[in-house]
Amino acid sequence: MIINELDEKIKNMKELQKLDNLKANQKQQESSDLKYHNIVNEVNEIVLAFDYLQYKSKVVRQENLKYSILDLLNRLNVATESGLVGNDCLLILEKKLKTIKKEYNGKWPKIYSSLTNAKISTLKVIRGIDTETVSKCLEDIEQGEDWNPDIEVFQRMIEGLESADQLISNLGLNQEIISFLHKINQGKATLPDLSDDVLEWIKKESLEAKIKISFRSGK
Amino acid sequence: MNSQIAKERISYVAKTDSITASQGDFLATHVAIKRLFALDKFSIGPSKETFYTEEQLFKTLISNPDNKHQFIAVYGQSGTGKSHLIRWFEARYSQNKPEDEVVLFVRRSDNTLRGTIKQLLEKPEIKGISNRDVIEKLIKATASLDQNRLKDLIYYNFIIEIRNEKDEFDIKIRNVERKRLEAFLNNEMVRNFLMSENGPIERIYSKIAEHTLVDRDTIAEFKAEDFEITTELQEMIRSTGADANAEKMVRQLMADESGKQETKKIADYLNQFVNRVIQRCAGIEPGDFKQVFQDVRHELYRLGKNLTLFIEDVTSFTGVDGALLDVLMEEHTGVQNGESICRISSIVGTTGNYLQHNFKDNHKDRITKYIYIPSDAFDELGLYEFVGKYLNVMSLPEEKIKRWLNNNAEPDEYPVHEITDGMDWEYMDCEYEKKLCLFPFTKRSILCLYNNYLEKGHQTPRYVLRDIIEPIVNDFLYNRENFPSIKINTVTVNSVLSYIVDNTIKDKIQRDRVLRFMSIWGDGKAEQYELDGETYIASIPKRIYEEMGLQTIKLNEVNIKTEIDDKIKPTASIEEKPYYKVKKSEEKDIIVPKEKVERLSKVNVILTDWIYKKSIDTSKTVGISGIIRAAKEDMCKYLFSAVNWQSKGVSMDNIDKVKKSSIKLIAFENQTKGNGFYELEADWNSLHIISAFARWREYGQKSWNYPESDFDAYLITSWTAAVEDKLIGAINEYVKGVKVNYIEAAIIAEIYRLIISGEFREKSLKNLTFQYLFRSKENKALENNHSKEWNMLLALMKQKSADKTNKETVQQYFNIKQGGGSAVIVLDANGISSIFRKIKANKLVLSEGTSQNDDKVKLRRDVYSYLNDITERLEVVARAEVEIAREKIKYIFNQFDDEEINEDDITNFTSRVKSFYEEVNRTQINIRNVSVESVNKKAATIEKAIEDISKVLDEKNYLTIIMTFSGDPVSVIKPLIDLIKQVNDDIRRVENEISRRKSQETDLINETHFLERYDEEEKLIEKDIEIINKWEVNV
Repeated sequence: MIINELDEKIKNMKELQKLDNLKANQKQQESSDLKYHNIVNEVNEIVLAFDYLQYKSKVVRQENLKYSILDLLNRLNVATESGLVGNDCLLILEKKLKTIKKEYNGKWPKIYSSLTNAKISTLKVIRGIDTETVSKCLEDIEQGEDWNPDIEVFQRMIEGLESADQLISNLGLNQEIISFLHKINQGKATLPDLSDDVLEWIKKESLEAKIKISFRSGK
Repeated sequence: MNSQIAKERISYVAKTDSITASQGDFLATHVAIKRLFALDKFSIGPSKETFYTEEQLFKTLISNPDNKHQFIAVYGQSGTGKSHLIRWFEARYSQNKPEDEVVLFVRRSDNTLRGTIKQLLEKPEIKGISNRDVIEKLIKATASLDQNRLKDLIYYNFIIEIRNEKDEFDIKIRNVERKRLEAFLNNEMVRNFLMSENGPIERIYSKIAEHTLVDRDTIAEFKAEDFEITTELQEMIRSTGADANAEKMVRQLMADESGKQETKKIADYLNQFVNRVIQRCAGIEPGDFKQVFQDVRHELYRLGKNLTLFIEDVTSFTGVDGALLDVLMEEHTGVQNGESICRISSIVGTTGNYLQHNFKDNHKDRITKYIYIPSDAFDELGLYEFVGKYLNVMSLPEEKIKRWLNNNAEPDEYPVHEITDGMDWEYMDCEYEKKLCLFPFTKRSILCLYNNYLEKGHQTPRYVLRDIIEPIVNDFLYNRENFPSIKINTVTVNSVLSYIVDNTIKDKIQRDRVLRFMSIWGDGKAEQYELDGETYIASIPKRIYEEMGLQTIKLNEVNIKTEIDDKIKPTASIEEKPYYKVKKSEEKDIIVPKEKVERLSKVNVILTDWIYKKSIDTSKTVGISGIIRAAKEDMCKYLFSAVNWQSKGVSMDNIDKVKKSSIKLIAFENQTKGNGFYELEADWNSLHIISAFARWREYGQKSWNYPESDFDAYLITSWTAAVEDKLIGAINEYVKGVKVNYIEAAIIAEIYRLIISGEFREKSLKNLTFQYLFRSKENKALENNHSKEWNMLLALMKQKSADKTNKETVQQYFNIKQGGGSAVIVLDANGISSIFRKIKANKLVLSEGTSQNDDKVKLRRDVYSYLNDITERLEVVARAEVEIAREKIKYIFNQFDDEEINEDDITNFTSRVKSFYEEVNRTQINIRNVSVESVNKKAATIEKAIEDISKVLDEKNYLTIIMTFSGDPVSVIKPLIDLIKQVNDDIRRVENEISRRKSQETDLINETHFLERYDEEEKLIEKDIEIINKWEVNV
């Protein structure tokens, strides 16, 4: 069939063009290839990082991200169809990658906050209870505060969060106790806040000596 | 006339050869010639001479009053009476000859040398001479030879003479010409030609052999016309493998410029040998012949006698005439071989022509006197006397003639017969108050027949006797109840008289007799008058009609006082030919010249012959036949313009075709060549019509301005009305009852032409209207993609402009010209619509049984031939078209790997092609960019063409096929095919180029792992995509 034959010949000619180009500018091509390689790896890191986050947390399940990355992956595929990655093509790919990265630089703090804020504040409440452990958790969690699609960073962050959960669980804290502790940290706890459950928990954990009573200043 | 005696005597008396008649009959029929010339020098046609009577010449010349040597030549044209005169001279001389005079009369006998020699040897004067050797030799010469052997002998003797000719004659030809002539004569075809009947060898043979029936005055010689070679003869000579020299001779004789002179030269050259050849063939030596006469003259001298020699015709001595003249012209004053010879007086008859050409000048110079007999030696009265004497002698018993002869045939005792028939008839007054009854002739009939019936050159006593007296008398004697029944041409038929007779007498035989009698015996005028109490009808008394059993009719009464002179005297004489003179109302005489009247008379001669069932020649353009032909053509022209064909349902196109046909509108019954639509019966009525047309042309110079033209106009007009329907039927019918239908064939052919030429491109006849037939827009495309067969058919249709001719037929057939000289032409739309519907319904097939391809009119027949040329090729053309289209379409299908190609497929293809060439350009391969625009723009049309072609690939109906191909769909798909082919070619070139260039870069490919360089990345990407595809997303 002539159309198929035409297609084949068009492809062949394109290959030939690339070959010609390659011949004409071998070093530049190597540079392009490296850039392409880097983009592919970078995207892979992002994919792995997000896949990890997806797996560990529901927070990062975002449609936009999925399709932006898919689109980029497809473009990366097409870019090599002619045999060699061209500069024009590379520029587009880089731009696309940059866009994805920029978008997630912007979006990450919000995602990070939603992932970590509750845990961090609880940890800070109970810092006085187990300062060392809490500090370790906070340090791990805060590794992921800035956007860096490095799976190791995210793994430490997730480990920190999981350690915090473990710690809080071990302290037997319920929401009423956590609320009381939070108020203490803010210097806003009052005697009415000392419910029976809270007093029982203080006595059980032998924390009476660690809590001091004082008057509120002002009105 | 005495019928009873005449019946017995006519065969003896009416002999054209004066020599064979008895002496009594000869003298009793002799009419003294009063207009003879006596000349000192020869002249072929002397004039302004004093006339002498035969008696005067006898007394002064023939009787030789001075007893001197003399040689008198009597000449005149054939039949003028030379023999008769010489016989009369001999008879007259013998009556009172001197005692010492020996009279030797050599008759013409059978007019051959043999006969003449035999006759001589029987004369007692010659029998007694001493030289027996010579006599024996001559007797031997008279022995007969077989006819064919003798002719061969003559022929080959001429060849021998040519071969051995040694410059001894006056007329010479070059050696090379002599060789050519010899080769020419040796050719079998030439031999057959020259030895054929009426050929020169036959003429020469007739002068040697006995009992031949050739004209007595034939001269044994070659004539220039004997060597006029026709193209047929030339072809025969060539095809039988003639000698190169013979062919050269043929070309020499046939040459445009010099051929005529050559034929004469060859004839003259050969004529020099005639005498020698005759002598050799007859076994006579001229010396022997001379010797005989010399011996006779010696012997007579010895006896103290003189010789008077009468030779009726010197041509009887052809072969030895030179020797004869030598001996006759030798005067007695000298001594011959030591012996004296007698005085000789020779009276020798010959034709002027023979005398002119065969007598040597030295002979002519030695002739003492020439007596010339003119053709019209008789004056008017002499002619009546001649006829009267023959009628008288044949009515007289032989004994009475003998008695008169025995009494010295004294003129005053000339016997006159006892009349039993025609007592009250016309008489001829002769000397001694003798009255000779002219019955069954009138003077007018004698003159009329003499002037008009005898051919030119035959107005001599011999032919008066043979062609007038004998047949008319026999007709009366043996067929009296039908007299005059002999179909003598009524040369001066008066059309009015003829019309009246024709319409009064119903019986055809009676009608012919009466008209003939009135026209020849009477004055031929449609008039009657009273004279001395007797009614004269056409100048003949009524009682004569009754006597002859002829019906009388009433003619126009005329005033006797003014006309009487004309009525009782003959209106014509030998010198004064009849002429027409009529007074017109304007009192201005219109006189038709005598020559024209004569010509018309001759026309009537032929026409009368024709109505007596003799064939008529209307093919000649000159002469009298030419006048008849012209009359026929005038009749046709007249009828074409006089008949309102259109109003009678005859298309003017049909008329035009008939006009151009070789078949004339009118043909004469029994005409020698050609035919016509309407055959004019050979009857009197037709004669009048033809004659009227001839008069219109000849007398009126194509006008009615001539005497009695009104009657001719009346005749023609009434005749037109009578034949109109028959003419229309003949023109409008193919065969009896079947109308000509060539227009159907013409329209079908034109529709086929419209289809084949691509001027009508629809796939069915549905939208074909008759207006298409009148379109003038031609498809002028110079190129197409039709099959060879299609284009050959197209070319065939245009051959000799057949297409244009047929189109004209179609466009003109239904035209109706308007009367009154209007230039407006109206189309018979109903007529054309009706036939057009029929043709469409019949799918361009002629209605069964309507083919008239053997129509007698060529142009109508051509229409069928033209249609047949088309239809017999249609199937082949249709098949060829399909095969070409099948091949093309298959190619496209193969390329697209599909048998249903639509517009999108085509545009998709062109789009790829465009990309292909862009890539070619980018890849810097040296291939010229190909435009796809022509295909792209016509994608829809191409789709349609492919679809149309696909539909007819298995079609059987050739009309459907040719209509499909009328629009040349192959041309429509051609750009696509061309593009595909070009692309395929370029694909191959691209392949080669890629292959070549890649081979140069093999190292590079290997070094850079060209094909695997992105494998790792591709795998990674693939993995990423796999991961991502598993992601769940928040809405």
